[in-house]
Amino acid sequence: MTAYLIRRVGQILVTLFLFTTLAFFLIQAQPGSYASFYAFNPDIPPEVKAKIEAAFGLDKPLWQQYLIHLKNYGTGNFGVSFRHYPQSVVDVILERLPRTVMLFLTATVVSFYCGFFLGKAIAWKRGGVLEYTATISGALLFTVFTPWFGLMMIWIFAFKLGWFPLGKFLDPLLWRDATVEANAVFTNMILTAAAVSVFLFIAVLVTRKFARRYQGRTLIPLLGVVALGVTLVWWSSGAGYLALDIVRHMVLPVATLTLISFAGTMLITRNSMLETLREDYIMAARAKGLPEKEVRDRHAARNALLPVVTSFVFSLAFAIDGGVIIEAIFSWPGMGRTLLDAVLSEDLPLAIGAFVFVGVFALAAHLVADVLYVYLDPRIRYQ
Amino acid sequence: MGGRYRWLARLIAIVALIFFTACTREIIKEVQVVATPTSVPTTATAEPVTQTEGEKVYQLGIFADLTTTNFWSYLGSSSDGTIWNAYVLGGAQPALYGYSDQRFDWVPSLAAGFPSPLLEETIGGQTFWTTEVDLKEGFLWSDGSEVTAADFVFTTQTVLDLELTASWASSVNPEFFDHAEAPGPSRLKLFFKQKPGLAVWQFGTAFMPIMSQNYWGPVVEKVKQQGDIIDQQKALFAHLPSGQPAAGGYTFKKWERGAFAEIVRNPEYYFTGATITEYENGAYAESRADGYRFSAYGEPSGGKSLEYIIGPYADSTIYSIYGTQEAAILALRKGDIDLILNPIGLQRGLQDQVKGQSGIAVIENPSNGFRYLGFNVRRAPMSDKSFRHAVATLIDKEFLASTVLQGVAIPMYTTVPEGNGFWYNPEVPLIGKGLSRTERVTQAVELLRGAGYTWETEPEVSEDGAFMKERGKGLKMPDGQPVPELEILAPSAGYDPLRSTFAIWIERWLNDIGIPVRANLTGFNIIVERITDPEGFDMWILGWSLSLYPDYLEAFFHSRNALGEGLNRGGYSNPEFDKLADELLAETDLEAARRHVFKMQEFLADDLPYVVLFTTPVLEAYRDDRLEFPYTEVLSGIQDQNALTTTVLIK
Amino acid sequence: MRDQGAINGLVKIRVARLRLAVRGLKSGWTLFASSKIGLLGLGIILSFALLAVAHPILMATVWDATTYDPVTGYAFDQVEQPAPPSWRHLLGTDPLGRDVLSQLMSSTASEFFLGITAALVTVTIATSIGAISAYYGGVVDALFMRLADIIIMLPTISLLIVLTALFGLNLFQLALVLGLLGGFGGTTVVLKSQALTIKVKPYIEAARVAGGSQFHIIFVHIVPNLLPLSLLYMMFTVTAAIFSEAVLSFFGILNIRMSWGIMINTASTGGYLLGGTKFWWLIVPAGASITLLCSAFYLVGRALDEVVNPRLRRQWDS
Repeated sequence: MTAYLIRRVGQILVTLFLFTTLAFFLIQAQPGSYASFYAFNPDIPPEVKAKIEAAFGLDKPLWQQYLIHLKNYGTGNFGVSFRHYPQSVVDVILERLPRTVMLFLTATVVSFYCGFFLGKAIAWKRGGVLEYTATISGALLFTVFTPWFGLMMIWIFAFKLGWFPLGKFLDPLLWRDATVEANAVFTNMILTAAAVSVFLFIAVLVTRKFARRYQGRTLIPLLGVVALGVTLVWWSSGAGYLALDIVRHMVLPVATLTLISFAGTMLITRNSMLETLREDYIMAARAKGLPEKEVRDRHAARNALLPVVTSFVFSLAFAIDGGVIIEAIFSWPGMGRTLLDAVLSEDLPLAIGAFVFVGVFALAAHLVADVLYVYLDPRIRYQ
Repeated sequence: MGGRYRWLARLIAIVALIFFTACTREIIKEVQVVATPTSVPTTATAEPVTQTEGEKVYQLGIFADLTTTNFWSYLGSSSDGTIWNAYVLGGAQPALYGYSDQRFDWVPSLAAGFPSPLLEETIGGQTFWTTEVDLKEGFLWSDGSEVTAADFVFTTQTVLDLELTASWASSVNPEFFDHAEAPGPSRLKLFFKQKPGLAVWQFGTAFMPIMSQNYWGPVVEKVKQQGDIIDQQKALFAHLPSGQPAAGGYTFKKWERGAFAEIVRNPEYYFTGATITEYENGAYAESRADGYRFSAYGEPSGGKSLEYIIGPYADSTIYSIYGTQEAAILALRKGDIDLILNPIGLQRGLQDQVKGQSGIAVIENPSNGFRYLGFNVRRAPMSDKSFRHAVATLIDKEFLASTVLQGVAIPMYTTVPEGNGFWYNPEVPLIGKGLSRTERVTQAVELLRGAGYTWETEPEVSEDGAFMKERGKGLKMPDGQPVPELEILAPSAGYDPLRSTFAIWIERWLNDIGIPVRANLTGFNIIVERITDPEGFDMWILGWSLSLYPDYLEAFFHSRNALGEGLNRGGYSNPEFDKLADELLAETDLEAARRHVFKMQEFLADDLPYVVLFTTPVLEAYRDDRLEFPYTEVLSGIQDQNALTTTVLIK
Repeated sequence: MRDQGAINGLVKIRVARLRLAVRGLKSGWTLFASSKIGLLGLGIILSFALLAVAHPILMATVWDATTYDPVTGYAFDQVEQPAPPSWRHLLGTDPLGRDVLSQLMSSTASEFFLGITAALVTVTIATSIGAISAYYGGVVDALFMRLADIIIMLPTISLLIVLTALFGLNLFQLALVLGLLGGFGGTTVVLKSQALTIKVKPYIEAARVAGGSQFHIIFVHIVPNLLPLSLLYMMFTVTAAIFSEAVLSFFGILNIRMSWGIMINTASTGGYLLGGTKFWWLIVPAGASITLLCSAFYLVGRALDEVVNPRLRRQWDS
């Protein structure tokens, strides 16, 4: 197990190295150079341009530039953003990261759950109305033109019905006298979510050991208590209304991301369930006369979950892509919008930095999925 | 059996919950200590603070985040010189002189009157050109201290010492500006190394934003301890000011990154309550309740073209960031914001949406800039004036602007926009204006044939100009060589649909008469890169935003700027034009400068290094049920007037 | 030189193989045809193909280029642009006065070109690499699989956005990039695991014993057996390609003159995206086409999945 993890981390480090190299060659292969963006700006005198070039190492031979690049990226130095000069790329990214992480974790988890439960249901009842509806609407939503769909969601739910705010992640009138920064609230919300998940994970493991049969009945009150606890903590912190404001702004983008991405998980779950249902132990469980629900949830679904977890990684990359679009449409200034804005404003260091960051983020998630997989599958013990 | 375990599980759960609650509480407290400024009390569990009774908030929508709140950086770093920074930070600092509202007269702001004429003085063996300016008394910073001549001296000295570039360098141009002295707190004397032209003094240093020495003095001192100049600049730009005094209508309050920025009313604003009057005869006058009077440009009498009393009338102005125009328009329609600020204005489809909706008004103004087709005159056939004239004749700007682009582009013919009335030369010929398609083709063919071009198949157009009877083929240059395959570099539709539309149509029209040309719609960075190589391109389509004072003509077309990284990319070179441009730069008299500019426009219209194509109207929408502006007709629109934050009435 | 008998024998074997293939196709078709979802998808694809084919014919016969050219045309017959649908312009005109139906049809061809080019590149690369990796294993395998790891984790749209900023992609380059990403990415992994199961089949061993060259074994025995699965993944690649193009064009960062994405971009930059139902013809035709064609390929893929992967068929059927 440990050996497996070490090997996996090693592999991921190699991947990271290759990825950084790829980034370098992308920069080198593009037709312009960093310096040329300054060249056309009438306000910068030539001597300053020369200094900028020197600072970026652009006057050195290629192999030296490569080494500088590796060193820079290895030490987390992605250069200086053109548009936010003299802010470094990392500073810009760190400012946006919490907002993206919050949106994504929520959306990914919600869409994953929806997809999993729907997939389970349609695999169990094949040929029913549910299967056709879910498959076709899933496929349509999966392939719907996201920008337009996002705008329609805003138009219907925020503008016409007025249920939710019109994009953005907070209400300026509410925040103008707030003494905490939005990023601090975001960070705390992420920490809360992390703490709750870790706690629930442990609780599930513990209750599974002690009270296998009654797990379902234990978890529901437990969830209620956790929710109450979180509410109390936030209430007493004084930032509760701010967090609530953020949550209010999150509903619509999360719903949109969920609708466009649940189909992936749903179909993989369905296929995986169908394969599992042919296994002998399902026959055996049925033959034993266990209730259908029991067979479905306890025997089939749990084993069918494995490939679904693997696909989590794929869906993550998909979610990040969806995020580029959703963030632009919902005025949510996260990583995706940073990337797009950087590209549209020709801020290449920021564009590449944001892209590498997104890649690293995906790699980290990859690793987490690997670990989860090992935990979930008692049959697999990696060498 | 199950029962016992169930209890155990619940017990564990409760213990864990308590532990967890304690933990998260710790985390939140810890972070909050960091995030909360010590002097400000927390709003613990308080009800959300919103707009309180009677408080007036002016709510604006913008489309990108600020990049800094540091005024030095905003004007000193090209990357921070964004329009969005300008909207929020723009009006905060005082300047000696400024433009009057709507008409752009050159009027005093911090200065108590016009400056003394330039004098040549020799001090210690060195010759200077000097001028003196009196400052207004009782002009206060928001912290209550007075704006003095020392602040001005401090600002110019900082620019020189730290070798600041970008806008700072155009305000304090080290080639001209030597230093400033403060003979008294309200008296200022400026020393120039050589005779400063209008652009250097009246439209340069006089407009320089003045920074508070009280606040920035210590910061600049510290900054100067850093390594080399670049480090010092970086350190100055990196300083995030808090509590920096302002002398405009508002002071900066809050920047929530990615979400909004807020400025609040400056109770010390000098001009609050002042009445500004502009007369039809050209006169300008201002008066204050305390008896202060100023007038210029003629006798302040007769019909008034504009009169208003300066506020600000809003207690606070909030700039909210929206990701798309669509979202901002919905917010405007819903009443979340009062005005959308966008340098390119509103799209026509969005205008259609809000037109007729009660509570929303749409206004239209021309923008100060142009998009152009540039020729690389170093290469044949672009080097041939007749060829350039033929191309200009073929381009039907009216058709494209009014028919294809439906009024989202305004055709332009001259290098100085007509709206810039003082500098615009009405005598300059407008090539091809009002011609029919048949006439265009015929004239272009005549021009080319006259210059010795030949065809294998001559182009022929139908009587009504609706179609080509015969497309030109096998065009040969006067030397018998076939015209090579030419390329027009133009921005892709995503960057600018207007320019790409023009490029596609120009390609078609040129092809019709046999000029083998292809529009290459590509990224902005690729175009910029391509046109830095003198031999690597044929024609290109880009655009310029312009200043009111048209010294840009020198930057775009003087032959010395055709080398290295100058802006004369097409390599236009005409010694006579160069001479005029040099004279313009040196001119100190407004009227003489105007004659130079008129002459330069005539040269450019004949030599045609650019075919000026069009400019865009700035469409703006605002809630007229909430706002009342003193005026809405102005070059580049309300967005270019800082959203009129100090004069708008909030209902 | 071989004698006639041997040649006859060879021909017989070939014919037999062909018959087998035809029978396989037939039974595959029967299976495919039993899936309503697959037939629906196929129907949609065929109707779009018809549109694509019809465009040049219409341009050559009924539609004159001045009015109907999808990029430079202008509807002089309409007073105000965008004009609502009329008999001359069945889907109206766009804000620049161009016929929407003509744009829609001419774009269809480019979408097919894009999708199919990308899919062919993907499948060619993925099948070859999958087979080679599975056959050789070891370093070759490790190298390709690590490469696949990187590509899988890359968010495609984000990567493409960066690439367009650096290079300015046109339609063919986009297809190529998408093909390469698919070919070296996820599809390879799937095809490789399939190839692994084929590699251990007895007939491969037989071929090897009989002295077949490695090239022969990989490309004559393994690759053909991978083709059904490849076909399936072609469908998914097409979906991904069309979708990516639409999103990138929507953001206006591709060097393409006309496509469904550009059509929506034109509507969007003109500010017509949120006009509600008032300007529906600017958004609905292009938007629905993207969704329909993408879903159609996806549905066909799903139906093929049931043909290729017997374990997914209904339990009760077999």
